[in-house]
Amino acid sequence: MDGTIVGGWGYVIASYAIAWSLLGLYGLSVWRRSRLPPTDK
Amino acid sequence: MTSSFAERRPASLVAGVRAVINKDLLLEWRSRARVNATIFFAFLTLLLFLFAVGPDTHIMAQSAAGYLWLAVLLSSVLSLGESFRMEAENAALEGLRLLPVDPKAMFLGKAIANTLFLFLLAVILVPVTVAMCGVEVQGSLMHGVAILFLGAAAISAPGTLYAAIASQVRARDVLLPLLLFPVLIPAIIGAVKATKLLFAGDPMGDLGRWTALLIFFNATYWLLCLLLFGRVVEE
Amino acid sequence: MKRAIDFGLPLLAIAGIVVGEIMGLWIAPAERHMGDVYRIIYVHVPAAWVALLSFLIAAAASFTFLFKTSWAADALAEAAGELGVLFGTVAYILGAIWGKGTWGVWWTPDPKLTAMAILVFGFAGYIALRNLTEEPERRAAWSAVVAIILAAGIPIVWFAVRWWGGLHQNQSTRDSMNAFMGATLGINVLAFTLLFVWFLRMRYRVAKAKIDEELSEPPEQELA
Repeated sequence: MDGTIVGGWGYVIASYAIAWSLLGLYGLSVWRRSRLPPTDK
Repeated sequence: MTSSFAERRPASLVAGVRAVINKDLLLEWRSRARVNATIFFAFLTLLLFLFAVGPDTHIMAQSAAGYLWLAVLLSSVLSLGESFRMEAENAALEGLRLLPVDPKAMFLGKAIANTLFLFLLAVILVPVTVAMCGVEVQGSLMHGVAILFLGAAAISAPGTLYAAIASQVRARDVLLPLLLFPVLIPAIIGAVKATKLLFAGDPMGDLGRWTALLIFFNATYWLLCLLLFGRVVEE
Repeated sequence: MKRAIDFGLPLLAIAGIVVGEIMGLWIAPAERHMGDVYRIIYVHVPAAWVALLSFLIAAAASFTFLFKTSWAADALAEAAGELGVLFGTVAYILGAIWGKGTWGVWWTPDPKLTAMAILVFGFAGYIALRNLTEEPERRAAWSAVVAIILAAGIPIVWFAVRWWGGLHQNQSTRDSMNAFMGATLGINVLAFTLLFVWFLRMRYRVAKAKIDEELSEPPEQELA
């Protein structure tokens, strides 16, 4: 396994955490907005 | 009504353009204190870049082309916004909707006037940059003029259209650069690269490629903005 | 039918995501050169693809609006523009982390990274413009113009950055991917696309409702 980058799970976990928290928060927000009756913005 | 008026008299497009250019240039001449201030702003920006980068002459020479175009770009935010301020303050755009002025003439006139101003600014900045950054001009005069002109035109086409939009909303000062800068990135890359070659020499003959990029950018955006401008000033 | 989609799509999307993540994080083997860091691409690539798709939809919807004043098109453009910024930001952050983990740099003048950054910033401006314009007709027309100008710039951006980045281009990992990795990537792309469609439908609903409400209000008196 020459030249392999050892470890790096920290990067992977950080990435997945950032991605899914952003997408999850947005999804939650837009889901709530799409169910309420239209108020204004 | 508006479009049929213009169609019936196609020759009036050129006349219309000339009228708009004359009006805008006259207004700029009358407020030449503001024009001078904008030019000094460009100098100041250049100076600040150099202070930020420090006394390393090598870095200054390397970055000279970049700083020149950034100074032009930042100054353009001021001058482009100004070109519609008269209209915004006097609600003149609404008046124009009642009169049959071809929006194409308005766009071309303003965009050409803006190009001339930015070209002038760039020309003035070259000797300043040469002196302060310790670079030399190795390329031909013709190439230099062409690059400066293409760069100025590249900023002006989308700049004029976005200035028209920004002048009609709140937060117009931040909206103009926010909209304009992403679109201009290829043009800035091309202009800076070409200018750098003019300063440092062009051993591999890359100047043609960057010039072509600028020409293609200008062709695309002048046409596109001309076609779309009507939607921006109509009601 | 609509209720079936309303119910089934989210379920399918979430199921796809879960399966894709399990495959990507657990089952897929470590890559020859990059060890485990490469797994980021199982989220980065789908996010980037979806962002691009979203921006294209926004541009197409904007184009449609300029030809016939369809408020559905305007709502779709608004939704797609926003989602493009969301997924593009995710793709960009992940790309930067991947770059840091593999080549030790947060950013390189890669045409893809730069083009994506320009689109994300461009459409961020698009969103800002929409938020600052209150009259629906102007908002729709102006933002449509902005979207089209951004879309027209993409080919130009591509070539500009490719030339500018020079000869040193980053190698694609696709060279050293085996079939299972490819399949994992494919499944993740599919799952993300389903997620995107789900979000798009919801966001479109919100946008359309807002416009419908604005248009049904009595027109304000114009100040003289």
